[in-house]
Amino acid sequence: MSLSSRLRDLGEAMPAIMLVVVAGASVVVVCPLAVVLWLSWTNGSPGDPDLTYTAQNFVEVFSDARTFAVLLDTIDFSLIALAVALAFGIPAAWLAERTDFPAKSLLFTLMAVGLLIPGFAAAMGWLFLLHPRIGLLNQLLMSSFHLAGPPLSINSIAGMGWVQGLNLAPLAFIMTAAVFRSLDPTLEEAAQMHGADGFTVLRRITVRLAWPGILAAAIYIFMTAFAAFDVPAIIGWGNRIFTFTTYLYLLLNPQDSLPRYGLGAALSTVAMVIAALMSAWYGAMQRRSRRFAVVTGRAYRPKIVRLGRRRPAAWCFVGGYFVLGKVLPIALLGWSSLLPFFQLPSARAVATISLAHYLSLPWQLVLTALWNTSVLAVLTPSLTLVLSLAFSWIVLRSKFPGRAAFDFIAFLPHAVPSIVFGVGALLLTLFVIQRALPIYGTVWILLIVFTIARLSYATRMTNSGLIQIHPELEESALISGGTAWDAFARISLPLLAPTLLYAWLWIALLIFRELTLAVILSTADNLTFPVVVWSLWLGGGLGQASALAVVMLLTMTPMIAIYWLLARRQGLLAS
Amino acid sequence: MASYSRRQWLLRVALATALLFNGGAAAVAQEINPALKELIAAANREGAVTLSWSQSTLGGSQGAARFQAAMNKALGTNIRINFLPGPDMARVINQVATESAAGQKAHVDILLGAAPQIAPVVKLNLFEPVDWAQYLPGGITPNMIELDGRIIRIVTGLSGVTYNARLAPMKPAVLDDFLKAEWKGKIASTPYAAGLDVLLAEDVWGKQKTVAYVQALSRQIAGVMRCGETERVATGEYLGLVMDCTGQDALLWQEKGAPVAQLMPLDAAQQRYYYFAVPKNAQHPNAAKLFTVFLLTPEGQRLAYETWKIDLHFMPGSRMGAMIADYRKRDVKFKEVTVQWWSEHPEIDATRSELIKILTTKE
Repeated sequence: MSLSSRLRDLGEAMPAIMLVVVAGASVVVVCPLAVVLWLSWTNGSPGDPDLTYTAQNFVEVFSDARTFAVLLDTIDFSLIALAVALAFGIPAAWLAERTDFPAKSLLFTLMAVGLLIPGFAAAMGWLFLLHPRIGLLNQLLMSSFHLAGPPLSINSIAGMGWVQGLNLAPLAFIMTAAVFRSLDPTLEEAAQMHGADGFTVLRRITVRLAWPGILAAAIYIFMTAFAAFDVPAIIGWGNRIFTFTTYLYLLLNPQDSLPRYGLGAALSTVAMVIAALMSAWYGAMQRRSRRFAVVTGRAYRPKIVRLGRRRPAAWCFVGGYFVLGKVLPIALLGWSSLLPFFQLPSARAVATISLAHYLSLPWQLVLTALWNTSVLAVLTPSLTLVLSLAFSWIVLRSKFPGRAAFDFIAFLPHAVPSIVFGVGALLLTLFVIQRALPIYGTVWILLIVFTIARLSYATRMTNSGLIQIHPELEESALISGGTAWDAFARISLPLLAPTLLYAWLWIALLIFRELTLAVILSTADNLTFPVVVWSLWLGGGLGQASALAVVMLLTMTPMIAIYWLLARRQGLLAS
Repeated sequence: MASYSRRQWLLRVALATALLFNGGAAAVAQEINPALKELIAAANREGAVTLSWSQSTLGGSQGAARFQAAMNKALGTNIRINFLPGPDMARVINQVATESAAGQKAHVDILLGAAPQIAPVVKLNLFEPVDWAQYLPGGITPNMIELDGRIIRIVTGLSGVTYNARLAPMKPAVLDDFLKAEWKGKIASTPYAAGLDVLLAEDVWGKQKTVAYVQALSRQIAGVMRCGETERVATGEYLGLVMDCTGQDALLWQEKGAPVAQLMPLDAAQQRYYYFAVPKNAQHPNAAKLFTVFLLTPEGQRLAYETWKIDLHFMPGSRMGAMIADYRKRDVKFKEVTVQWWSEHPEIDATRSELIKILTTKE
């Protein structure tokens, strides 16, 4: 058989190969969850021959009042974060999409970039800003208004929700901007023709039309806040305020006994149920929001509201968000990194400024972590997108029975908090596959789990990209004598290239700031940049942690610049 | 060749100094004995040792670099110390226990802990029994060794209360002082009930008094922090840590100009030891043993004091020894907390979880 005919056979076998890849990846996605479910019904350590099956873990979890207190706190925290995120994100999206705000491109850029700033860095900055005793803002307010006590406190559910909400505002912006962009303007115009003023149109038409889309975004943001680890860990931990993720971490790392994985797994299943319900609601809202979208081929131009005299207020709103959300916490982080120990600005503090924390950083460790992070930032998006393409092709282009199940599996990592995947993967590699695949403590386990965690986002991107390419194009290639691989590689892939490039860079940047999964799975040999910052913070080196967070932000800057240039070229940032 | 001779010479000087400082039977300088020579060769073959503790313990990452240079210079080795700023001692030990149960290699080569962290895992048979005395006869003495060589004392700490002397509303003298209104909402405790757990013993405070105190303390504290996070006291985030692990962090922060002091409460003074143990599943067991041996030489103890303001109090010339003697002159009576003592007081472990839950739960 000639080489060309072999290649042709291989090309024809592409659907089968993709099916195998997708099936294999699905097993990898499902396995950590299966391990969590299994362990939730066991008593004893995994691998222990005396392991028994019991419902005791659930009894213990649900008979402990603390579990309910933590879940209530998590819901409060997530709702506050949601409210803050929407309070900043929706008006900003409205300004960008439906008004004549002059700096739309800048607004889009700053919001997209804002999403990439690590949450733990902002949380560290806010501690220095709003701590009841050492917070700069509290001290200023107390001295300015002669107050007896601090008026504000970051050490509360509300404070944590505020910081998390500011971090999630860009997400609210990006998601609701898409909603405002796709609203049918004719209804607003009709209302105006009937004499409704601008505010009435906004309240009774625009908001109501956008409501399903906003609700879908709200559910997504709520789920993200529910699964957040970094802000609750940095601010809440020391103040005895636990959310679901930090409480799970506490259960897995007890001070007075060996880890009780069954108990952690039982708590995880609670989160899985909550996440499943929220995901179902999210899916329903998304389907409903599409009913309000402009999908016709009619000439469509959104009605632009003139800001007029309200323009300075719009500038203040946007500027206020960036000062509060990004500039102030990062500035405080920088200030903290220059002092031997954190002090409020004063002549005495200025006299102690030095680069000592930067010079004393464990640079060998930092460079190792930077290398690991860079390897992961390159490999994770690459592997994720390869798998996503296979998933999307099987789901959208093939006729395999039951292919919709693969789409559901690809969505699972979004629905289930990533810390649960982390715990499942940890136990899987430690106790189940340790001999067959000894990847515990290596970057490869991080690669696999990071890939799983980003699969939902990546498949949404490749799904939407592939939907826009009509199957007739590939069918033409097949009719012209090409194989399935030819049609995919020479037609679909080039057309998908811009989407893939954008998604690759976005995932790479998110990997650079990923803390939750890395903390669960890190050992001496697979440390990442955020884990070193976290370890320094946790280990009592606040100044060093601040210095390294600043270094990390500086390291990310060129990558963010490349992302910005690329996204701008594709028109994804400009309005 | 010349370099080898120089190393040999340095090693002999280091060991001779170690033995001379240890007086008595150890006064006679010895040749590098075959056991130590063998250990050095094996450690060199391993080439590295991985350590993990907080940044304030033994100088953290900077301290690790100093220990690496000093050890390699003194013993003629070429061993790299991989240091990871780590979580609390209990978590590191638990992770190694989990790795051991799973048949995996340990992620660190030395476990560091005091009695509260070590005693609960003794039954797991995690630690390698080592004949420490063979490496430094006379230098490593029987009073350093517990559990048949599975653990070895490396430094002595004095638990008390670390507080911010500039911002403190009053000068405290006993633990009860921190229950006064002036301190409410301004102090912290540890999430692992450091020091307070010892009070549970029947021959200290007993369960009833300790639980009542911790319940009252929990209502006073603003939050929890680890012993290694004394910077939070220095910044004024918390005005005191009730109780601390060693209190020596106060001296470290005083050197940096921070107004941090330690109170030795007359009603709860404790003298505890920090131990090293080599896990059976260590990746570099010989390098781990050699590092431990080096830490117990005068040079190692000097570095321990420089980086952590702490050393083993019964070693000749110990600064901690002088400090303890000074406290004793002031009628401070220390409870000596060893792993053995802890094991003889099962009432501590029976109630320790309750203390932890009280302290980590906000009312």
